[in-house]
Parts: sequence; C-alpha cells; structure tokens
Amino acid sequence: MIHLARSFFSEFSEKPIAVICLVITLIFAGCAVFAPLIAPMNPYDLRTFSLSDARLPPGAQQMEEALIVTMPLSAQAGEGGVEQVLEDGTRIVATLTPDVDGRLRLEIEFPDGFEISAIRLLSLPRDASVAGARRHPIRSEWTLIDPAQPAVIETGPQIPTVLDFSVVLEATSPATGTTFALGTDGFGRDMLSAIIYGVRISFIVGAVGALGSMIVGSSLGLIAAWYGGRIDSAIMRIADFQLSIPSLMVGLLVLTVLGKGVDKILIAIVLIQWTLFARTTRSVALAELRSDYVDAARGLRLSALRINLRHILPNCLPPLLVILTINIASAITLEASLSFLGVGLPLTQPSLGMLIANGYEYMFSKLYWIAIYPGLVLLLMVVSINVVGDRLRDMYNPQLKR
Amino acid sequence: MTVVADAPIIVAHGVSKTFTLEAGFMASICQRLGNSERRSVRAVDDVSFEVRPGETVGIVGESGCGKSTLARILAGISLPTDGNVTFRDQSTKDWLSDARKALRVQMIFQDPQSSINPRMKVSDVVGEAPVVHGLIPRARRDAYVRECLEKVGLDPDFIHRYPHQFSGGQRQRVGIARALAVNPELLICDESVAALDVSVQAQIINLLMEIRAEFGLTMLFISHDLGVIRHMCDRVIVMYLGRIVEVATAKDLFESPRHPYTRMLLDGMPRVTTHRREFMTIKGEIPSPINPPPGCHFNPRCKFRTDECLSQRPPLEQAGENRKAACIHWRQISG
Amino acid sequence: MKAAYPATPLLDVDELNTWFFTKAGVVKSVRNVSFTVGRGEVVGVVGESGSGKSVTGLSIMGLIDPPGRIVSGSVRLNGQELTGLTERQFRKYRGARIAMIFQNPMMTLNPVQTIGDQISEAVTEHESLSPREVHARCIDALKTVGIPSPEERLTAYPHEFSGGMRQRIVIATALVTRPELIIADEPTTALDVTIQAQIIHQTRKLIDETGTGLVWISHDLATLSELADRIVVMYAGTVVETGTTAEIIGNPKHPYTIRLLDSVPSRNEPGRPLRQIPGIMPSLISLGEGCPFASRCDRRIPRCDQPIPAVTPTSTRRVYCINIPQEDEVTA
Repeated sequence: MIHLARSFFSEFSEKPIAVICLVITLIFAGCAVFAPLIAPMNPYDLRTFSLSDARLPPGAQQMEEALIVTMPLSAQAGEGGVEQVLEDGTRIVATLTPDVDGRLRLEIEFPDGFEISAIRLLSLPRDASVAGARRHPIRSEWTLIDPAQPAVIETGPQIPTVLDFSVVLEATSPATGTTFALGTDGFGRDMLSAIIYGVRISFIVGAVGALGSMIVGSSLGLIAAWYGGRIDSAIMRIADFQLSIPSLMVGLLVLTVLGKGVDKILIAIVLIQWTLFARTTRSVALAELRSDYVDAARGLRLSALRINLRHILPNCLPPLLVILTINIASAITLEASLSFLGVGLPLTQPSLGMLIANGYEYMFSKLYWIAIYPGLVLLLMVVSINVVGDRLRDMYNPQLKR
Repeated sequence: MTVVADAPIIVAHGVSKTFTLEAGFMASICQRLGNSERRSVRAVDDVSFEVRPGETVGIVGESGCGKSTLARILAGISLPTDGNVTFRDQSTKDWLSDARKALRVQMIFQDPQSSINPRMKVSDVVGEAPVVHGLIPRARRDAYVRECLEKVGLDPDFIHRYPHQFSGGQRQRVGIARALAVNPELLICDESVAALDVSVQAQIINLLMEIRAEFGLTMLFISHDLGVIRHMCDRVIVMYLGRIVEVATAKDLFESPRHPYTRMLLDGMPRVTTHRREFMTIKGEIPSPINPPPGCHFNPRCKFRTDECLSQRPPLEQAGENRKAACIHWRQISG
Repeated sequence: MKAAYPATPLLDVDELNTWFFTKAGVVKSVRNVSFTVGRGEVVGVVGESGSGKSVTGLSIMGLIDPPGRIVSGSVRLNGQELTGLTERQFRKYRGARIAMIFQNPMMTLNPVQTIGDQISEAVTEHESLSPREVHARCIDALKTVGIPSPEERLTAYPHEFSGGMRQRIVIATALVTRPELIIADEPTTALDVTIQAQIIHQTRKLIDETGTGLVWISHDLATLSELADRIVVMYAGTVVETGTTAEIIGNPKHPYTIRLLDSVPSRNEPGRPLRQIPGIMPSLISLGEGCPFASRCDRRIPRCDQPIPAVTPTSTRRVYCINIPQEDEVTA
C-alpha cells in the first residue's frame, strides 16, 4: 500500500503547480477542521461584536463599548454637586459654584487615567448657554468642547433658585488590543474570523455534498447498468430532465421549499450533482459488465450486490474520483451563489458567499475589504481544488487507455 | 452420491438464444405499424446434445456459430430464450437456485486480460467464492488459495500479487485455480488457449489434461483450433451459424467428415508442412447471423447443394455409428 | 507461375538493433537481427510474444517512436539505406515502395471515409494520375483481392464489410501503389480459419503475379509453413534460425525451433501430454550476451553464455547455435 501511495505521489508531483495547489487545499482543509482554534473571534456569537465596530478598515483596533455615566445634579441658588462611584471604585465628582458675575461654574473631578471622551449636559433651561460647549441642534443638550476645562453656564441675569440638569460623561474605551486583521463587515464581525468560519462551511458543504452526490449518483448508475431495460431508461430520463434545468435554479427551488440551513444546502447539492456521477458510473459499469471477469463472478454464483460493489465499482472509481474533486469545487461555488442570492444559510452563519453578498453593496465605496477578501479566498480555494482534480484526471487517463 | 456411469452429466434440450437488437421508441412504433421488421439474431438455434461423465466434448466453429453463447448458457451465466439445460436431471432454474450446487459447473475464459478483475489480488480472486459460499472458513482462506495455486503450477507466494504483474499464461492459470477452488464437476473451457503463444499454450493444455485426470473432471472444450480439439477431445460437435451440423468422435470426425462444412474446415485448417500448399478456391464469406440464408445455412458455400437445401433446414440425423450430421447429402461426403 | 528473379536481395536487414530506453531500463527488443528478402519471395518471421518480430517490422518501416530507436545496423531496400532517413524522406517510401499491413484492419481503415476514397488516397499520395486512371486502379485492386462487385462497393464504408473483407481491403490498399515490399504483421490472426485460407491463397497468387516481396510476421507456424518460401525464427529479440520452409520444418536445427515444432498439438499423439518447453521467456531488460534460450535449453554448455556466431550448414541456412543436435542424435 505504501508503495502505491509513493508511486502515486511521485507521479502527481510531476506537475509542481498541482503540488502547490494540493498544499493550498490542505491548508484550507485544516482551516475547516480547526476553525474554532484558529479564528481570533467567534463570528457566530452575537455578543462578541457590536455595530460600533462596523466597517472598520483592516488593521483597525476593536473598541469596547463606551462607558456612560449619568449624574443628575440639583443646584440650589447656583450651588450643588453630585458624586458617583463607579463599579471599579472610580470616584467622579461634579461641582457647581456660582461665579462673581452671575455665571455658574461647573467642575468635574475624576481620577487621573480615567479617559473622558465627551461630557454632555442635559436638561438645561432653554435660555441657558454654556461657554465652551456646542449645543445640539434639536435636543437640549450641550457637549463640552474640551472635557478637561470647566464649563461656564450662563442662565440669564439672575441665578435661578433651583437648577436641575444632568451631567453625562462618556469614558473613552481603552483599546482592547484586538486588531481586526482584515477589517470588519457591516455588522461589526471580524472579517478574518468570518472568513475562516466561512471556509469551514464551504469546505464541509463542498466535501460532504460532493461525497453524498457520489454515493447517491453512483448507486443509481450501478442499478441502471445492472438491470438495464426500463429501470435504466427511467433513471436516465430523470437525469436528463434534471440536467435540462440550470443547477442554480434547482438549488433555488429546493431551498425555497426547504428553507435555510446547512443540511438543506447539502440536500440541494446532492440533488444537483448526482446526475454526472450516475451517468459516468453507468457508462463505465456497462463496459465492465461485458468483461469476462463479471461473467466469471456470475459463474461463481456471487450475489448481484457483491458483484457490483466488490468487482465493478472499484473499476469505476478512477473517473469518479476525478469528478469528485471537481464537484467539491463546484459545490462550493454553488453554495456561495445560493447564499449570495439570499437563500441557503441563515444570516448568523455566514458562508463565503454570504460575506460576499453582504459586502457587495460596499464594493465601489472605499470599503473594499468586506467583499474582496472573501472573494479572493473563495477564488483561491476553488482554483486549487480544480487544479488538483485536473491533475488526477490527467494521471488516470493514460492508464485507462492501457 | 452414486451416479450411473452412463447417465449424462449435462444435457441441452432444444436450446435457443435469440438476441433482439433494441429498438428505440420511434422504431418500435414503426414496427407496430408494420413498417419495419424486428431485427434479431438467433445466436443459438435449437441445439440439443449431452455430455457424459468423464468425457471431453469439443465444440468447434467459426465466428457467429454461437459456441460462446452456448457455453455461457451451459455454465448458467446466461439463460436460453427457448429450451433448457438439465444438470444431473435438474433443470436450469432448479440447479441455479442452489448456489452450492450451481458451483459444480465452472467456466474458464478466453482473454487473460479481461477474465480477472484487475483490481483484485490473487488471494481475493481465487478465495472469494469459497469463503462466500462457506466451503472454507475465512481464517483458512490464504492457506487454501496457496494450495490452489500450487495445483496449477504457480508459486504460492503470488497470492498477494495483482493480475497486471502476471504474464498471459500465468493469468490463465489463475483463472483455472479460481474455477478449481470451488470443486467443480464440469469445466467449460471457452477458447481458453486461443490467446496464448504456442509454447504457453502447450503448457496450459498439459495443465488442463493433468487436472482433468487428477480431479476426474468432465470437460467441454470450445475452440476454433482443430489441432487442439483433436488433441484434447473424445467427441466433437461442429457448429455453424447457431446450429449443430455434425457430432462424432474425434477420430471419426477427422478421418471422415460427413458434413460439407466440416470438410471445408478440415481443408482450410493450417497444417505445419514443409512445402507450400496449393489451396483450393473456397468461395463465400460467413454470412451475417442477422440474416442467415434460408434452409440450410451453409448452402451458399456448399458444392453439394440441391434445391431442397435452400428451403428446408436439414435435421440432425444419424449418419453412421455413433455419429450425426445435419446434411441430407451426407452419404456423398464421406471420404 | 513464379518467374525467375535475380538473386540480389530486395530487402537486406543486417545486424539490426532496436532498443527502448525506458525508466525501468533498456529494453533490447531487437538484437543483431539479419535476414534478406528476395523479389517475389515470401519470408515468414515466426516468434512468440516478446520475440521482437513486430518491432523488427516497425523498424523496417521506420515507425519506431521514442523512447525506442534503431541503435545500430542497416536496413536496405534495393540497396538504399533506410535507417538514416528523416521522417520526410521516409514518407516517399512508405506506402509507395514499402507497405505495411497490421492485424486489426480498423487500425488502418478510417471509419468515416468510404473505401474508395481511402484506396484512391493511397494512389494519389504518391503518383499523379488522372481521376479515371485512379478509379481504374482501385477497381483493379479490389478485384485482385476478391471483393465481389467492386464498382458498387467503392462507395461503401468499412463498417459495412465483414472482418475478412476489411482485411482484404487493407491488402488492396497496400497493393494499389505497386510497392516493392509488403510487411504484414499478423494479418490473418484475428480471422476465421476458412477466411484465412482464402486470404493466404489470394496473397500467394498476387505475390507470384506482381513479384512483390512479402514479409509475413506471425506466431502461427502452421500458416507460415503453408505460405512462406523461407522462414526466420526469432526468440527474445534475436534470430535463432533461418532457412527455407522445407529445411526449417522438415529438419529444424536450433533447439528452440525443434521444441517449438514439438509442442504443436497436431504433432503429438492425441491425449498424451504435449512436449512443452519448460520455463518462461527471459526479461528483455536483463539479458546477457549469450544465447537467450540457454536458460530453457537442455543442450546448454558453458560456451552458450558467450555471443553466439552463426553456423551455416548450407548456403540457405543460418543457425545461431553452437551445440546443434547431430543427425543421429535423438531429440527428446
């Protein structure tokens, strides 16, 4: 067996490009298997991303949610204060004192190291104005221009007896240190993680789908070849009928009926791809059935099942394996197209196709990364699997002629 | 099981096999409307004969004579469209239904390339059937296959090899081992030495004769090579276009053929000779089995033909002691 | 009746060596093969698989492709050396002056061309004749090989003929250019006995009438003995014996030839074990310099491991053996 494997590999590696593509394919396979271990984040966990991270370019840092502290301040004759202690013990104090010229001075104390990104004053009287702050055009909200400086509030000629308002502090979230290597998409998902998980889905769908089609299709092909007559005609006519409908339409029909989900996509792929396997198996099986060794097996009174699985099928395998590799690539493309069109996988489990679809609207704005990276990865995966399949086909052809 | 010495081991009763050339949908409509005829080939046409235990019967004929089709019917690999075959008085259906019983008739094929599955090791090729049918326990399989290989003159260490690693002659031996592994009583050899070189052919012929003697086998030997037939067979059946034209002992057949076709075969047979041979002009081609000539199939090439030959199929009748010929003029042919 | 032809050889093969340089090693398919063919003469080359007989035929025709090539030796047609010719030059010979016939007629015949087209193509390729003359030649060719109603059959396709007819058409195509030499590689092996007899008969007649030389390659000694004037016996890539048919068949001298003849069923008593040759043919990669048959020969002596010279007991015979059984010895 080792000898066979060795001679297989030495012949395979006669074309270096095929070896490169084989390595690439294996890397993708590794991604698929080890996705939870390799991906920096889990793109399925809705809690781990937020819209505030949306559409960040590659290399951006993830921001945590800003901390918002709201402190209601009630001032009597222009004097008042409020203090708030945060969960981690940080103490913030806001003090309002009147000034000599009838203005109110607001000072906010907070410990060093506590980064304030914005201070807003809410619910001030309409006619009040705050020096050093910007007024919100609609709401009664003033945002301090420089949070470090105290604010000076003017309330008119007289200091009001009672003044109630709120001081809202927004603390700058420290950078978490997580870099989005490939940026984020419109939902705030890390592209790299989404792509890795997307590769996993594509690979599983491709491999399992193509394998399932091979099992179903080859069985039907063997049955058609063995029994001949009406059964053969029936199976082949069904195959012809199905081949006359474009595969994407079959997929759309099936998924619209069945709904979304990885298992439904697998069913759709099997329903689309079985025909090629069935036809190929049938034509090889028909030729093999005429061989003397099949007659010998009949003479030895072996059962039909045994003859088909043990004697005929192994001889059908070389062309079937080539079709299998090529169909894996085609299944991946199919799934991507279906997801792109909106059927297939649910939104929360993005495949490469869906990522491309989501990023499609941003293609021509500057947010290129949302569609390009998944697209490139899909391209690379499909091309390398196809090259490997081509090489297998070339390797097996001269042997068939022998 | 005690068997009466003369009771035949296998008997063909009026066996016929017709292959209809499949008509497509449109063509079958036309046929129903009466516009065209159903094309069919009568590969085997009402053949009856018997084989007695221990004897070797040769079947000789050229392409289109139906000998290979007949062989497969006798081996239980294909079914006749008419008539039946009895093996030890059990009709085909019965003896085929019991797998173990049916193993008693085995066949050895012509083409060493295609008669063994290229993807199976020798141990599987030879050992599969005995294990599947419970003749030997699985644990003993490799040891049993080794014994079988030794019996046919192959190195027992070959059990792990694949067919492509063997020469043609060795592959034929594997085929013989495969048949012997299930303990047959009747061995049908379909052109088993035709694809082999002269020296290898001699080895395989000798092997077949050896196992025939050692295991007391009855044999049906099909060939187009009259020299081999003469060497191996006790009785000979000559076939032409699906019909038996002559049956006789080997000696009688070669010394005094009683059918014009047998005469022609013997005349045309290449013989190792020291001088150039003067050939008699033999006319005619072998007709296509789809449209055989009416009456006696051989009439277009026959120099003894009369009008009767064109309209009636000559019956296979007694033409001397222990022999039959299907020719109404057989008395004129002797010599 | 065969006219008397001059004795200068039409074809002279001298010490021909054709080797195949494969990854597994050098396969010496043809080693130091020499024989001649005269005008109007039929030379039969007999051997089993691996004997190199087909490769010899292909070498003469210049049809050896890499990884094989003619390593040394010469092939002369009427004095003209063929081994050094380029493909272009050879094309003037192939079809026009030497023709080849293969075992499977469908290797030669194009299934989508009428036989009339194919035969006339062979003519017009090498000669410029008027269409009428070409037509006449084609009809003539079909008549000589015994195809009935040739006029009508010219427009038929190969699949409309039986195997025997097809082979006859191939022979007709080979003859229509009036070549000087025909090489036939197992032309009747796949045909029925009665058809084979007819074709051999017709071929013999043609050779006698046209004076074409014929090399008939086959493994079937019986057919060759009925047709050939002289026989060349090959084993494992070399010639072991040449001579007239009468000499080879009636008085074989090389142990292999003797054993080969002895193993033919018709030369053995029915029912007794055939006199078979023990052992198997050696691999063509690992051959030594000596006689390739030595490993299976019961007359082997130590000198058999050295290169074997040719022994010429008569002017027409050559035997490559140094331990030929004497007349009075009983060959087992």
